[in-house]
Amino acid sequence: MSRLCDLSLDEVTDGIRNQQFSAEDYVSHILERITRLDADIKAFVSVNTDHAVESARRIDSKIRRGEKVGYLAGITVGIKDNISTKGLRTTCASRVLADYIPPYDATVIRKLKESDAIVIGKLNLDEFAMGSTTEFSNFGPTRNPWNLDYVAGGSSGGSAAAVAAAECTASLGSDTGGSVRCPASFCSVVGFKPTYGSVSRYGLIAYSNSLEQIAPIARTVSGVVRLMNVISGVDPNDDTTRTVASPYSVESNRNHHRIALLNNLTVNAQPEVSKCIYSAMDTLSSAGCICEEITLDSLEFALASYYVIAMAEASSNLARYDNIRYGFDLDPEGYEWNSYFAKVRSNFGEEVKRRIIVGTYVLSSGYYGRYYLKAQKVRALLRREFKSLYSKYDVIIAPTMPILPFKIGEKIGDPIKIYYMDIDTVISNLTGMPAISIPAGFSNGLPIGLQIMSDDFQEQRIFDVALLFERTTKIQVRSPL
Amino acid sequence: MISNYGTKIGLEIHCQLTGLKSKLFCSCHCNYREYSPNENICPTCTGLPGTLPLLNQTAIEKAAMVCMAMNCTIPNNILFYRKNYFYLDLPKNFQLTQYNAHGISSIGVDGFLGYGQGEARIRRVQLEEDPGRLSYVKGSSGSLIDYNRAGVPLVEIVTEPDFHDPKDVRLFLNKLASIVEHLEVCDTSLEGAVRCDANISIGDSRRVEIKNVSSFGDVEKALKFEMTRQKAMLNYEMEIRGETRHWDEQRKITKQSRTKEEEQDYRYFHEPDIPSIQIDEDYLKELHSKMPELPDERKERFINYYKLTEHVSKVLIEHKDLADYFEESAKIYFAPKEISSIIVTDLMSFADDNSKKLGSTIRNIKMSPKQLAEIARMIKEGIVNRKTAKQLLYEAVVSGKLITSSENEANFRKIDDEGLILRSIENVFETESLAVLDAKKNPNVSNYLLGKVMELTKGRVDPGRALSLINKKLLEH
Amino acid sequence: MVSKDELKHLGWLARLDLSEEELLKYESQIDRIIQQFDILDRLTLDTLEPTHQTKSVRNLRIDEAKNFGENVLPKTRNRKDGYLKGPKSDVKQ
Repeated sequence: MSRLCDLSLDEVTDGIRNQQFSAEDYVSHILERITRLDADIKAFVSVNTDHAVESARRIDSKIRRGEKVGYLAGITVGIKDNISTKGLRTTCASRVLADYIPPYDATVIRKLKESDAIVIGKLNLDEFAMGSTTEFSNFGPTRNPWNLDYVAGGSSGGSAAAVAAAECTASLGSDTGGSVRCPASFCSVVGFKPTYGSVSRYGLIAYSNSLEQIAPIARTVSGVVRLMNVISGVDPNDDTTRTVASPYSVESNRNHHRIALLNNLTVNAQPEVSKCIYSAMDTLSSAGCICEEITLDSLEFALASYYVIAMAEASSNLARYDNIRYGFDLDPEGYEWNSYFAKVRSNFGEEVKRRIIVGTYVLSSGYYGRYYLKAQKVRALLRREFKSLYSKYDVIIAPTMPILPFKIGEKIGDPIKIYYMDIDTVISNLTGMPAISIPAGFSNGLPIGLQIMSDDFQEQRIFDVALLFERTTKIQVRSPL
Repeated sequence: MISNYGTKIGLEIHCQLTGLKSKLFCSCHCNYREYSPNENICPTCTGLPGTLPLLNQTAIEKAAMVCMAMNCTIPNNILFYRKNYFYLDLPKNFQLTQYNAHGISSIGVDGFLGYGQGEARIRRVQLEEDPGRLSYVKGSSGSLIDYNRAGVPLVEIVTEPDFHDPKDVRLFLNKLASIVEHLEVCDTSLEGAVRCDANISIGDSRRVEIKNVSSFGDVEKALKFEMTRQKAMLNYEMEIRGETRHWDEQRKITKQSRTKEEEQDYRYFHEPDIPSIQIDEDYLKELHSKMPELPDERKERFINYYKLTEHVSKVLIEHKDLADYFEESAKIYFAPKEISSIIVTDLMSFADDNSKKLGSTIRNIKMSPKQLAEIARMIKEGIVNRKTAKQLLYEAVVSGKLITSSENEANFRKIDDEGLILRSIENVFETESLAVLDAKKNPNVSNYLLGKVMELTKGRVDPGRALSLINKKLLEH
Repeated sequence: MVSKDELKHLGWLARLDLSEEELLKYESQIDRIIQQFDILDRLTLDTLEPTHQTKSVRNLRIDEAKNFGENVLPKTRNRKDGYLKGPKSDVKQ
């Protein structure tokens, strides 16, 4: 007997539309799971109970009256708490935004609502999306549903854990250097970073504007595709958005994809991870794909370039948190302005402060050419090299993460170790090109993700290969809890 | 004594693009002056988390026109940069601006602008956002913040240090003001719409920056003060420190700033939320064909078409409003010389009484161009003499009413009838019999009698004609 | 090497009060992080220019004014007569 919560996104919308079950039944079931499970998992920072039930009833009555309902009618979507939701607290898991309530909806939220998706709540993250484990949250760490002692990955740890634990149908995270693919890999769900400019960033609270995209998570590839069909496209509120090739299809009929495995990334991976990725390549070969291995030397500059750019942009983006327009209660009366700013801004967490300081350093007078400009040139170099690779291959595969999930607290004292976790994912953020992480297997009960990358706006190629792999491997999509 | 020789002055001028409807990066009103505090704001211009700048197309257009008027090169791609610094009036704690140190990103570079006899090179023209405004309450130690102005578009015009005399600076700024008015990008009469910083160095001395000069008129004064101060220091062989000084508007002096400029490190980098903006040749061509007439062209036209003198034309085009008023009036009644002379002499004298600003005077007077045309007609057709015309003018300027109805007109009409003039003279002779006796002995007293006649006729008689009639009458007496 | 004084200066530039404890911790960490960045010194890339997304001036936002229509700052605590209250500025009052 399958549980409602384990239904894929397509099964939920079909079931509700065909009145096999009501949206209200489904939402109640999901809310009940959140109540029961989230005390342990800690994926949610706010639950939108009243709104969710109300929306479900509205959808049900529309269906009963025979009216048309939206593309995503009745699915429950959890939202990373750095995406602005009108009237719903949006904290970035930070003390400086502890009770900030946005007066507007992010474009993606508006689009979800217009397609009758239900915003079920806000999800945990590393403060301002800076981290790879969700341990740097003012609300405490999110736990991995596959093993509660382990990290969920990050920074969209709440978004991946909530989907893995079937506390929602799907979720939105943000991916700046792997922040959706990392937790998707660690939690065995599908996480997709779109081409830069595919999805509007209006309402996404900026960490590093030139690198990040809002990114969907679901338990199946088709779930992610359906979300992309709703959230992507040109937005007059975001001048960096571009026309996309949507709607994307979930009907792949090609098997002979040209695939390259980037072996710099398997060489540096934990042996269990590397083994799993080679076996994934074998699976794809057997399914008819043409696979070969390649090495790209310039990748050794990727991680440093990523962190230079991300921290530089972050140091500027986070300057606005000065407690004047929003923030906690501290009367400015009597303070000299510099000391007031410095005092209130010391409420940022440890990792955020670290990145602000480094970002300030790399932009400061005399260092621009050595770090920031150089990092930007590396981006141009990587784009050139990947463009040339995509003239030969449809997609490139690699591990999503170089390591398996680890225990909470294990690496928190060593920032550089945590930065090194992003070594495989930052590449696509630097090039701006799309990449997905899909479940590829387990090692000792801990999930491993396969990363599939492609050229600008070639999301369909990625989806085709991912769908093929998913169909072939049939990896369990049922929640472990 | 140290001469002006070796003095180098450069300018940094900020003009709000007051002609726009919306702010530079959001749809709030560009005209923020009409709103109560924090009523002209949105998530974007208050820097709320998650907002993105949406560049105003017309801001690019207007700034490009300013560049064209100053003979600048306009690059094919422009970028915006973040200038990172903290302050209470900056919602994001960075300012969106343009920056050329990492490659040309600003809307215009390498231009020049002629003024009077001189010419100044324009280093760059860039677009940037205005910050919000701070105010203070007496007795409280805090500040009050109003974001209504935050995000209003500014063009910053930076000159090379090509000026040697503060007087030239004034001529240049007048020319610049006229240009932005003719382009309809900036209403320079609005409070805070134009601001100017200047830098000055004498001989080999260090450069001193003067900030916070909020009207063009004060720039010359600030520079004169600073030159006097620096020359005095040099005469006493004191070293001039490279520093930033603020202009104290009330006391008309420059003061040392308290902010520590050397601690500023703006950490400029390209704003990732604004793509590189492509400005193609066709766009510029279209824009060029849309360019309004500039002051220099207009002056030539005034000289050639209206046959005005160089001087009168120059005075008129210095303020677009003045030149517009003139043309509108001359369109109604083609008497350009008469009309222009009334504007530059008579109206100027009214202006001198109060603000000395002819441009804003013309805007504040109640007289319409049509009324001015009517006065010119009456003069031309000999209906009124100049003295009466001036009274009519004054009345119209103050009240907006021009006395032209036939009955009133009669009161102001020149008295041509010799019988009427003689009757007035007789009246005066009757009341001033003692003076009449005196006048017979002393010819100068006849001028006194003339005065009385003019008084009685409210100046409506021709004084020459009246005097000869008076003299004739004295002989008859 | 990023010295403690340099760290303090960076804290000033970023308006962050750093405690003695934080200074001590960050000093070594930040140095190690920046050392990782020094790998970029191995590249010259003189002929390569950063690439930017582009947009034609013709596709920019049309200059139309509209009111936001909602309370932009509903939760702002320190207000007076419509103004936001801020700390003391360094302009003479």
